Amino acid sequence: MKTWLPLVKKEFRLGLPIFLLSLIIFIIGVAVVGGIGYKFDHILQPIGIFGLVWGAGHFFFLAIYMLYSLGSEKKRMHLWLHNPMHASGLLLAKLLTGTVYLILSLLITSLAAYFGGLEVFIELSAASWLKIGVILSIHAILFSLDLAVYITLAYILFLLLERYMPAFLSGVVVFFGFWVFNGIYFGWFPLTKFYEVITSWGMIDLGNFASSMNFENNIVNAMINFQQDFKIYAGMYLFEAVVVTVIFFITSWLLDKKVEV
Amino acid sequence: MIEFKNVTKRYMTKTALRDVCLKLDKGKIIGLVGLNGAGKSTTMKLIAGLVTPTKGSIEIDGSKVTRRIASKVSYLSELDEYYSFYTVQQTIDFFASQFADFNKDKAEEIRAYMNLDANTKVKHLSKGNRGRLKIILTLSREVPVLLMDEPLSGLDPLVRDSIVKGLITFVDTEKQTVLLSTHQIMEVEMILDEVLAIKDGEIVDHRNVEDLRYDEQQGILEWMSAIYE
Amino acid sequence: MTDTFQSSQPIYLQLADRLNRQIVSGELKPGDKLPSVREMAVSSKVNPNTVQRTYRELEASGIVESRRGQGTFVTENEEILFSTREKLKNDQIEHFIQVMHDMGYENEEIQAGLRIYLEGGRSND
Repeated sequence: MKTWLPLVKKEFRLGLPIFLLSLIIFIIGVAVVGGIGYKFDHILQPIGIFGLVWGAGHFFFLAIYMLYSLGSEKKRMHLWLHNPMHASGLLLAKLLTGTVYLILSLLITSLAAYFGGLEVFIELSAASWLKIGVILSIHAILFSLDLAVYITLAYILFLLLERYMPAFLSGVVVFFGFWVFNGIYFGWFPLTKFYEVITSWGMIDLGNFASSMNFENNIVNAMINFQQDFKIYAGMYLFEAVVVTVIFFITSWLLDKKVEV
Repeated sequence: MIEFKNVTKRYMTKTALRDVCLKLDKGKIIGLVGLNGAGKSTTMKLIAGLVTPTKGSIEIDGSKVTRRIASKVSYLSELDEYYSFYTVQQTIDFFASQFADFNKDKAEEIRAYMNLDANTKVKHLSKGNRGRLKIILTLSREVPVLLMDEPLSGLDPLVRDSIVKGLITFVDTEKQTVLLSTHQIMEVEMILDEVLAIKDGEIVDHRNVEDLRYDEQQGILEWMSAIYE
Repeated sequence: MTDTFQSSQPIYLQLADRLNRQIVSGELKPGDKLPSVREMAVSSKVNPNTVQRTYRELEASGIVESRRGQGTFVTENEEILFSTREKLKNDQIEHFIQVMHDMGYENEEIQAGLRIYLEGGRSND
């Protein structure tokens, strides 16, 4: 901890440009969308919609943050890796700072979306909006973290392959490898019997959940409808959490033992 | 003590080191000489645990070298990339926070000795001053092994001189082993205890410099030209 | 002390030689403290290990003494100071004679030459 916290501090400074970039794009987006809306006498709703879209875009935030942060270390690997700390500590410092920036950026975006007039767009109580906002944000953060871990592994594999082939080729191989993996892991694998067996437990009843959160009837109904097509299990969350943790430690191990300066 | 046991390091297209056996004693300043591409940097990185041997193993004081040997080794890369958003002082503070053995008083002493302004941003430092910063960061650690890859290269004579003097002043020759690679052999020949010659990935000679002078009335330059003829 | 050393001769011997000369010439006086190993290393720009070896060497010959916790001092022992003085003289003479012999001079020629050289100024009156 004594060495890790100062490292976290450094990571905040190193990753700051991504946070600022996200804010700047958001501000420009709001200005443009608001400007167009002004012509049609609707300023607020377009901003609200833009906020919603940009908020969803935060799914990619951490992945981009990690790529940027790891990319800046690439020039000074001898500095970054010349450290007695376990590689997981080095990576966690990046993930943590990225997550903090993600939350901040998401908060700003959500507030803009809300005050931008989403409540005009869909009529709900402020309390419901807040709860929905929190649930969506938590999912955006979790998905973003999930993707970031896969991307980090991909980047480390890129560094490893680069020793055996030109950087460009290594990038191409990893890029296609990443999509093939995605296709298999997120496309084919969830349809298998195996996946169903290990994850189909602890079903979350969305109807009950929505009622217990005191949502308006139209939301409860929407959620019950959603559930007829797609069931959500606690097992799915846990399974992905385990997989992602394993991937994270494989990545750390590779960085510790295999990556060379 | 640093020990190489039959170390081979192969890269995709070339063999950087070939079956190297080597013992480096404690408390010595050792020069590593060789032509470009002979394997000097690879040797340094292997000791720092930043590169792993294809075959064989490296030990420092009996423990196997991995990346985390960084707790015993202070490594100065030939590159001088630091975090450009930091000032000199912030860079020193960051290093101090990462290494328990970092002596901040010593860093301050060396910084003053090297005449380097503490508040200049790293990105505004000249090449000579980045060289000085590297020396501050490397020598301030109280570790058994100091590795310096080309500490003098590309620097003007005044800076080289202050770096050599800095080495004499701030290396603890009773406890620390220094391995430094250089092309500027003239500048350092008076401070070396031993020299290692590396040629095409092999250690071709390893001498105590004073013995070399005593036994063969040869300086390092004559000895080198006999090897690299 | 900044003049350089010859790179093809052991530095520790060159440094010992230099210190011996300074003692004989009186630049360093009996009882004077020598610089610390590190000071000496810095001022003469050599490895501290080398200075250490020089001091050991000088200590073995008796011309300096190390006092625990205080440092290294030029000896005040007259006998050793005298014999060092003699030794340095003899070394120089030996070297000179060697060179002269190598060039084929006979002892008589050398002696005559030396006498004339040394008495040069006065022998004319």
